Amino acid sequence: MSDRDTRTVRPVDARSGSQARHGARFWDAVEREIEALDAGDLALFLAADHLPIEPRASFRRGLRGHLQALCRARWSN
Amino acid sequence: MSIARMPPVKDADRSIVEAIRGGDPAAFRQLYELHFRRIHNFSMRRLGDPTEAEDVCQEVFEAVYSCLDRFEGKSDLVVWIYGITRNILNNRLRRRGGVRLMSLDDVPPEAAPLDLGPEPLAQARQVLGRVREAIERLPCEQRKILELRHGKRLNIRKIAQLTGRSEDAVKSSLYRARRTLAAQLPGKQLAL
Repeated sequence: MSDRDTRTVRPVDARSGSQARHGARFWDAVEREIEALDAGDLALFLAADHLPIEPRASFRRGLRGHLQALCRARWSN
Repeated sequence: MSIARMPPVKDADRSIVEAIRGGDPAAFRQLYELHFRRIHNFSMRRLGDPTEAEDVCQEVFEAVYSCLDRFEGKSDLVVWIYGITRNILNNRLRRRGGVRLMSLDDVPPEAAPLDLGPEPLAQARQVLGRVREAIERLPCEQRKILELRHGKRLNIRKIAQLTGRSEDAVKSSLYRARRTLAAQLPGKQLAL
């Protein structure tokens, strides 16, 4: 396990809890970003998974579990 | 045609979205694994802070999964996710009051993944090199305005003041620069 993995960081459950912030203004801004699509920036986004940056494995696992629970709650109703 | 205005929903996008809406855990994992690293690394490059990059990554996925029924297929799924990511990054950068970009050369060696071979890194550098070359080939005025808008993140009014041009002229230059880049960059493969 690397130093980055053992470093003290906030657990997934203690993070933003952002669902309440995804209202109409948020989605209007998303639409504007798509309308004003910047080709160079999109190219960087598409290539970003090749950047030599390694996400923390524990964060990746934790977020996956958190989202699975979110999905189950969202679509089981 | 702009990728943002492509009318048909790609079959692959439609099937994965419908599968997730139907509660298929495999489809969920597929979407997560496909985009996790891209969103995380793009955010890390923009913010230069691992904890903030993780916050953004989580917020993007929460928006995607909790609001997936908002995806109407007006753009590719990856473009929709890109729009969400940019919006969340912009909000964060606005609160922070500035932008700190990391170049590939600034990435610390210990951040490199253990299994990264030379080929993916070379591909990434090639893509970034093509972006830089395409920008350098732009006419001087367009390049300057593009750098002020996307490098310095200045608004149109400020750029107009700095360059002594009207706001409409600045917008026009930006439009022409983006159109030229869209025709030259790898995004063209996605029908940009």
